[in-house]
Amino acid sequence: MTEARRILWLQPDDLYPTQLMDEAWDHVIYIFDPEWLRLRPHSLKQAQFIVESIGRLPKPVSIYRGHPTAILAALRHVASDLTALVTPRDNELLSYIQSLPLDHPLTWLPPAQWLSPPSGSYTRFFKYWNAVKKQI
Amino acid sequence: MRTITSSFTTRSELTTHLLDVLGHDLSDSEGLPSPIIGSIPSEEELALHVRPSDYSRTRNFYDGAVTRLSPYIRHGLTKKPAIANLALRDYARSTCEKFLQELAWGEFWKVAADQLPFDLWTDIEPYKTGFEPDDYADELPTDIANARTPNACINHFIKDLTDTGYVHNHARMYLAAYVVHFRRVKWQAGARWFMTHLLDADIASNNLSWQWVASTFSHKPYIFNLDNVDKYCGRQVNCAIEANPELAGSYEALTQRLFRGES
Repeated sequence: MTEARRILWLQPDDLYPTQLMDEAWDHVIYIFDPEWLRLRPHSLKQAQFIVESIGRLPKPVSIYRGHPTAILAALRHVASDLTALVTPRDNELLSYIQSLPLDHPLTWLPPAQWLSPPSGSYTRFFKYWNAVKKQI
Repeated sequence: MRTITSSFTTRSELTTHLLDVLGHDLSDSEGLPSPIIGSIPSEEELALHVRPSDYSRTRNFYDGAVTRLSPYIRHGLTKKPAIANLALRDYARSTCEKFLQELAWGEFWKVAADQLPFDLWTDIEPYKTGFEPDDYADELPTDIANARTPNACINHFIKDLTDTGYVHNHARMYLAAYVVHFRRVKWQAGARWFMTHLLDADIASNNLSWQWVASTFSHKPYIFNLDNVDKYCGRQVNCAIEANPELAGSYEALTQRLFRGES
């Protein structure tokens, strides 16, 4: 019986997730998606910062430019039974990824969280602060 | 599908490679990389930047003891619990209060954003400026985009944004207030501009902060005057009156000039 092969798809919100080192991955990838870059324009400064940071990670990462649907399909064909990603903090990016016409489901990993959101509605900072400061 | 290589001898070689592969996808294919280099800060490097005592005294000053770690936090290259623990390891809790609050602002914006019944580009509340949304321009004027406004200090902060991708928080507030209130441009145009350039661009923090300045997510509009910029930035930035003709005046006079009726 062969073991499942696994891809970790890094997102800009968390280029160095705890899962990168805590779990075994056969392939770690980052994708510059031209459609997302059209919706959320990026400067060269931002792109270079991301690529430089990825280059410093303790595990090798393959960086692609292209549509995630095509890239994940190609990688799945040769390398993966499972593609996982950390749930983006950015709601617009999350919605965008959820709308991608992928031919297999993604595995969503929990994002890093510092302060648990308090119950109730908060529209002013200091009410929020008073509700969460005991967590620190 | 093209592959991007992250391993180069020099930064300029990486820049050339990125422009080759991504040039058509980027907003500034003629641009330059930031002097801020992408990396994973070590604990020693973090310790150099985490100074809660100095932070609480000087954070509003242009050269104050802010960490400048936000690009690394934004991309998960260092984590907030590690930074908070580092502060609390070396300083008393009471000394760390302002510093910890600053770390928590981003969490607050995320909570507030998740509670919105609409997207992050919609006015949450009416403007409290006496003006309607249609009174504001849709697009960022080119003199602002190109750092050629009549005001030297504003141009300085714009160059921070476009040349480095990092702007001190106080200067961000000045820029946002200048765009929305002094030039009467929709906050959405300014928010898009910041999102395109800031290395720490976070949609919740960015857009809700712009709404806070605009007054569509606060009780009143945030404005500043030249005296305030001079107090906090005058040692580094040209704050001469003749070099900043739009910004001089008392708060009362500016309120009269910038807003319609009671604000």
